[in-house]
Amino acid sequence: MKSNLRRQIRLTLFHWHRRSGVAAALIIVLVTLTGIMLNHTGALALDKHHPQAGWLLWPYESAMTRPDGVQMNGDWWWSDGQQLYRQHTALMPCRALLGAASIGDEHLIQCDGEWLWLMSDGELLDSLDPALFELSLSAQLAADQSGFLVRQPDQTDWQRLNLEMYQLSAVMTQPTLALVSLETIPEAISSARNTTISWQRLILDVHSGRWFGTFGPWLVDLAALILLFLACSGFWIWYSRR
Amino acid sequence: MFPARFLSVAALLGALALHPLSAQAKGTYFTLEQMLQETFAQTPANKAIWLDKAQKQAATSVLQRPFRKARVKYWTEAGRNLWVLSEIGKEKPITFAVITHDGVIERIEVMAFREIRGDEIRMPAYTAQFKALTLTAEQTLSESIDGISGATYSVRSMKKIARLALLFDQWTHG
Repeated sequence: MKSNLRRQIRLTLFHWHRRSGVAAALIIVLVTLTGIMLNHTGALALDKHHPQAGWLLWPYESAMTRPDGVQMNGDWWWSDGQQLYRQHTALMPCRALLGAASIGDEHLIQCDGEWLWLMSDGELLDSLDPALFELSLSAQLAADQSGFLVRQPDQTDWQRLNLEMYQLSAVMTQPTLALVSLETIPEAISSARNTTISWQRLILDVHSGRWFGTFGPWLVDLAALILLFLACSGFWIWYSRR
Repeated sequence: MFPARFLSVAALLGALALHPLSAQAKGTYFTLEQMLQETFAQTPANKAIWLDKAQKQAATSVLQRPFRKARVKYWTEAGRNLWVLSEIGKEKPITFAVITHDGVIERIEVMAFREIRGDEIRMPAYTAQFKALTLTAEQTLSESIDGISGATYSVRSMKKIARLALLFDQWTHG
């Protein structure tokens, strides 16, 4: 009688053991693989690389801020905090884009620490230190039809920049300024580059279930409980056969 | 008694405030105009070397980072060339003026320095080490340069710029 009951329990457990194993298999495989990857974050450099596929980044859209940039000759020039980009192409280091001026095919871009004198195709003519003009890094750039102009933050008058001779000269007549303003770059430009969410963050969120949305963590919790059940039921099935 | 003591303390504090140790290393030490006046009898018009791919590669190997400029500007008269070149120290660019003549460094100066420390490299006793140096076949400086404790990055930048100027000087002959 007692052995019949044990057999009945074992059979029931065995059925549920199999069903639960199938039900939780996908999540367990996912959690196992992501767990192994996270254990080797350093070796795989997961924290240094960033996924770019839009479907992988869907949970972060609201958190990802688009940087400011300037539009010159139809192209967006912007910095992701590391590199200066023209549209989607990384050109050179630039930790912060502070301003710019443009005249024809020539652009003067104010990066953190230096001015980059570039052609519209991204070719660098010169990098200049504002200190050579005895100007501060926060000096404002502009252009008129004769060339580039600059104004110190505490001054009202513009001065003409001679980029070849690193000289400033007074502007005699009131210039007709072409000012370039910093604006948030369009989504079509910024979505091409994700530099905020690393592979480590993404895999961690898949591992915990957060990537799947509100119910993701509950789903992973359920898979964990099923795994616990599988361990217990497996042990019971083995033990009851002894 | 009291005012005399007060004045002496004030004088001491004033002296400390003016002491070089408490000063910022940042500064502009030479303008281009000054360098041109001190180098040439009459200011020559500037020239430029437009770099091809191989030259950019050679400059990259000297700097140990990509050299991206399409051209290098210089001022020249009777074989004497003045180069204004910048290189990152630890975090900020340092602008140097290098005067070369027939593949030899005549003078090197720090024009603008933005780092917090390491400006000892601009001292005449230090820059004098670069005088008469040439570029070896391996594109290194012909003599070793002493380091400065606390100015490692600035020293490294100055050595790179000296090599780069000598490399560019070679191209003005070719």
